[in-house]
Amino acid sequence: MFRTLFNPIRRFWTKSIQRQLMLGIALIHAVLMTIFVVDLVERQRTFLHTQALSQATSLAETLAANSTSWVIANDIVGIEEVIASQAKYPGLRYAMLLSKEGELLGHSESKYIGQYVSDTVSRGLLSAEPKTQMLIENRSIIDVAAPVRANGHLIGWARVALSQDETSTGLAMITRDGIVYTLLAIVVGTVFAFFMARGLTLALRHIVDISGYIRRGEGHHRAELGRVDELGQLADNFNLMLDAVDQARDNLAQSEERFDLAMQGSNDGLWDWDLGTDKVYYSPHWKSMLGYTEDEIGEQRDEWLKRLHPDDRLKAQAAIDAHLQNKTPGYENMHRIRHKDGGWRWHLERGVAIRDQQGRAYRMVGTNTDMTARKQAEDRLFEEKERALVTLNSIGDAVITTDNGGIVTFLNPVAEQLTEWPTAEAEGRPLEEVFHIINEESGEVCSNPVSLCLQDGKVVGLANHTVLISRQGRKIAIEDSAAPIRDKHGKVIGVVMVFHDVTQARDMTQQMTWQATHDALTGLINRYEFERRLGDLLKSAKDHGKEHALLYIDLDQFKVVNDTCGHVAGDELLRQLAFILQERVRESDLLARLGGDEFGLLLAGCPMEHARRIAEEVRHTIKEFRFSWQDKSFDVGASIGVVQIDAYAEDTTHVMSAADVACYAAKDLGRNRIHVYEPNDTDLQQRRGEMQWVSRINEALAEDRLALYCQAIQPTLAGHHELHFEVLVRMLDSAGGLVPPAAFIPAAERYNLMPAIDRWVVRKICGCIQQQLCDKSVQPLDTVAINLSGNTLGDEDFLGFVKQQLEEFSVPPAVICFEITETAAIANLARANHFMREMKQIGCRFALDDFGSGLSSFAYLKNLPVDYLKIDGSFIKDMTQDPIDCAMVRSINEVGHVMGIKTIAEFVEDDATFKLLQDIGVDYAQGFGIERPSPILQRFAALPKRAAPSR
Amino acid sequence: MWLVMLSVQLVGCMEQGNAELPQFTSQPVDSRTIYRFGIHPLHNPTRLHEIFSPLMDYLSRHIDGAVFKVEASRNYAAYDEKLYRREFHLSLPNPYQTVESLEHGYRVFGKMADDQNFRGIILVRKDSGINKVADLKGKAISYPAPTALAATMMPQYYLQTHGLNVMRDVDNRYVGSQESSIMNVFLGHTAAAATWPPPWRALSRERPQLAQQLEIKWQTSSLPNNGLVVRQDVSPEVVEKVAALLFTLHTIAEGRVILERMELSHFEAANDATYQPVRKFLAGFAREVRDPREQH
Repeated sequence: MFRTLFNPIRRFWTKSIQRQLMLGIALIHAVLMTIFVVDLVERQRTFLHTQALSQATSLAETLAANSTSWVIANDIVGIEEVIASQAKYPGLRYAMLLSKEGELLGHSESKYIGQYVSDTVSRGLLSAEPKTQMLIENRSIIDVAAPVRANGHLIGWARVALSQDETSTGLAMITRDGIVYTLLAIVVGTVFAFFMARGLTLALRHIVDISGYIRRGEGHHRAELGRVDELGQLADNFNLMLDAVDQARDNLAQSEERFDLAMQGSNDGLWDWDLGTDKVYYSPHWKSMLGYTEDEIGEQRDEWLKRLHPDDRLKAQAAIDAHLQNKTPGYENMHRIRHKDGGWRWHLERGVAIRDQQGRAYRMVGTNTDMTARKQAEDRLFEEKERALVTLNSIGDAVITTDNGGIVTFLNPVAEQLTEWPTAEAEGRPLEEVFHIINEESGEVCSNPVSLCLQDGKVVGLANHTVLISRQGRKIAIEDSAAPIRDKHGKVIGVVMVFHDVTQARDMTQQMTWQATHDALTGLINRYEFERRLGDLLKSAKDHGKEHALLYIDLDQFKVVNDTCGHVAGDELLRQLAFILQERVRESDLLARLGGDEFGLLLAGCPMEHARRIAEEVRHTIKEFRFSWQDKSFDVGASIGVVQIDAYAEDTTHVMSAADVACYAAKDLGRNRIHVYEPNDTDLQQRRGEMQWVSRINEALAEDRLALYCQAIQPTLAGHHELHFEVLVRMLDSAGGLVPPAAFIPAAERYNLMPAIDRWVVRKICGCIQQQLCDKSVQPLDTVAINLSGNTLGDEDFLGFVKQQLEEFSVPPAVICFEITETAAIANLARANHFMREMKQIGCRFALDDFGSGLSSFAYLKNLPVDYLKIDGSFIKDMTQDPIDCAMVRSINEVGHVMGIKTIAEFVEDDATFKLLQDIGVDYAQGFGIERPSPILQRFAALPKRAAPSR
Repeated sequence: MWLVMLSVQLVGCMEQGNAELPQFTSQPVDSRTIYRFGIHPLHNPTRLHEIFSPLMDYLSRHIDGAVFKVEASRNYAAYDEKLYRREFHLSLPNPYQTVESLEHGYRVFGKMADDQNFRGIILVRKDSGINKVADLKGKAISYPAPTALAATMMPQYYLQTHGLNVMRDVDNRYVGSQESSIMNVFLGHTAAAATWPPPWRALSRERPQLAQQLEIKWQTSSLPNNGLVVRQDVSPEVVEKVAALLFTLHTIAEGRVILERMELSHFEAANDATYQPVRKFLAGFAREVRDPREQH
């Protein structure tokens, strides 16, 4: 029965989307709104109830607290007042105060006062625990009792009841409103659902109708809904589907038509062989390819077979059989077939069998393509190739070709000879295997030039120093290049590599390179190479924090050997020392000859401590070395500057200069020792300062910013008058200020600028002397003393220069006296001797300066032909006080006089000294006590006038 | 269907009628006789309750069929009114009220011992500079209440008999309780405070700075201590039992704890004649100072 009722309902429902949607939405609204309203009412109830409960509790507790003292005092009036104030609370049903025994001490309705509680709940309270109690809690009232306590003792109960009527009324109102809203939501929802569903079903109905038309083939229809939602998309897709169906139909028709046209227009001849009847359909074009008209060839298979070249027949038949037996995926054969004109045509014949379900071929269809022209081209190409091969075989360069995968395809005879691989064996192997090349210097395998060429698609040259390792391990220096081979479309299809043996040329280059980086005399590397390697070490120190050291070695006595025994001996000394040092240093250390008698030693990866030790060893080695030449033997010492090369080191120039400075410091400290360069070493700082002087002195020379001063040298003998001056040089700084000689002379000496300064002085003084001598009104100069430095004495060209100047300015050589120091003379003894002899020959004189301060050996005096002996100022200064100084002066003076040499005392600063010198018999005196130096022109202008010639 | 269910559920919630409201009857819950034991305002009601409810529990526990309830009063006037209206079954009035109660249907059956404590004391601030009674002239003096015998009347009588016309020379301020009287002089509202020894001892124990800053300047001679009176309609057996329990209180540990709170050594038997000295004092007081029955 239920079913009979339910089925029609279900049919009514499921028949229409519209009805389903309406009913569904109405139901959803009903359920959701019901849940919402029930939940709302329940929450509101809970809230109001909790609120009422807390109010009642609070009122009862307040009443209890306020009434304690009244209860103790049994003060009915007081209790009444307290209750009256509570009774004003809205919604209060009653308030009462009970004694511990249940007597009403007070009540909001005063008629009950003095009575006792009789109901069970109230009676229960009397025996309850003294804490706030919920007595009655229902929809109508909430009754709460709070204990009245005095000093912790229960003395009574305060009870308050609140009416719940308002809560119930509020809840009823919310419920009523809820039901109304639920009904409203259902009605509104249903109406909306009705309209939505109507819109949906109308569109669907439309598509259903269209599909009906299409199915019945009733003309061209489209679903136009004018919507953009999913239904709109459905309609669009439906329309696209209709279009696609139309398109496919058109395409099929076109395709059929196109195939017909293609077969007509193609150069291929078509054939269709029915294996059952053995009849063959030859297309008109197939026939015309052989020069026949359509009706000149029938349907027999023999029409084809009989025209085949007898040599090709078997091969063609075998290919067909193989395919028919399903051994090959298709049939393809190239053969000759006779043309109507009697000639042969090359045909490429291709076909495919059509098979039944058992795989048996029952039909075969194919085409013929005329390949005659192509075949002829191929033949010509073959000839070309042969010609190219012969050419390659006969050239002197080696040639290897590879395909575009770097696989060797060809080697010419030279290549075969160099690689020691015959073509037959090399073919098909990767190039690396046949053409094995390495870098001559590093020994690393070179990158494959063919790969590079394939990668870049352009000609690639081999790197320098490439060596080919032949199959037997022979090394051949080669030069080569690889060029890509392209097809006619420009695509790289392989690489051709050409190379030749350059062993001889490279040996020569190596020789030249060696010479450029080595010192020919010792075979050690030269300064250029040394600085280059130093640069490498500096980089490694900076990049990787490595520590290295540099030793700058300067031989102490080399000059002596050179001067006394000649260059050959000097060279031999250097060679021997180089050999000994090279033996002593580690493999990794780098010994170089930096020039002259200077050597450099680079200690890679060597901490300072270790470097110092090595330096000491080197110094010791050199010290121990005794150089013998002919019958002489020499001790050689070395001064060594040591510089640390770490991350803080500056560039090559700085390091070299630091080493040089340190080396000089070692020399200055007394030779045959080492000095370690410390960046904050004040002594070295000064030397560095001197280096700055180099450029300043050079500038001053270039700008003629030197000035000549002079100081008189006076005869001590009374009555003697002589115009004898020593020329002094001063420098003017760029601002015109005077730079004292002590500031720049040491730098000039150290950095070999003295020859230039001395030349400048000689040239200038010659000019001055000429001018002075020309002035006939003043007395002519007797002697002009010019200082010459050791370096200048060592300068071979200086002699010629002086002679030329004297001549140019017409200066009588007898006026000139050269002052040279003992040290300078001895250091350049041979050359100094030569210079002195030459100059004395023309009349110049010589003075030995600063005598007594240096090596001071009277023995040298014998070898030096000097005219004056200038006693060092340090003896003179204190000789009036110091008897030793005085004795020294006395003895020098005596020796000088015995040797026929005149003596000059420097630094004469007062009359007492002058007097003493007179007593001793020193010939001349010079110093501030006699005359202060003054500009030469000024001084010369003040020279005494010539006595008027007697008439 | 939902709507029907919803409505039913909600209406059902509302329809739960009045449950039983409290019911009253004139029949007491407890079958025992309640005896109201009025205590004159020795202290404020809460303190009084604290001190005397253990005694009431003790009596209730030892006398079958009887419940004793301590009853305080908000002030002396309220106490007097209840006493004279014979509302208390038993009472502990002060000596003056004891004498008065005899005229309102009560009889003396005992009294508090320690009569030496029943005297007035007059407190001043140590820094007040008051040395002799005459120094109080023109100043204010605080008292608990006009009818407080030891704490008010006896000090007034003392001052009157030591050269001061109490009613004219000073400003008499009745401040409601013993504690209040002491606090008035402590806070400097009055120059002197009249009280009696127990509250002074109790208060100076609780608040030591009081004892530091106040001193007892004068004290009066003593009178019989507070009396124990009973309404004449209370059955003699009950009175006998109460008397027996009270007079032996100091002999048991529980009793001594109770007495200690009262600052009392023990209760002792007495009768109407015991209060003859009080009557005499009152007559003298009325003659020399004022009539205590006149309201101020």
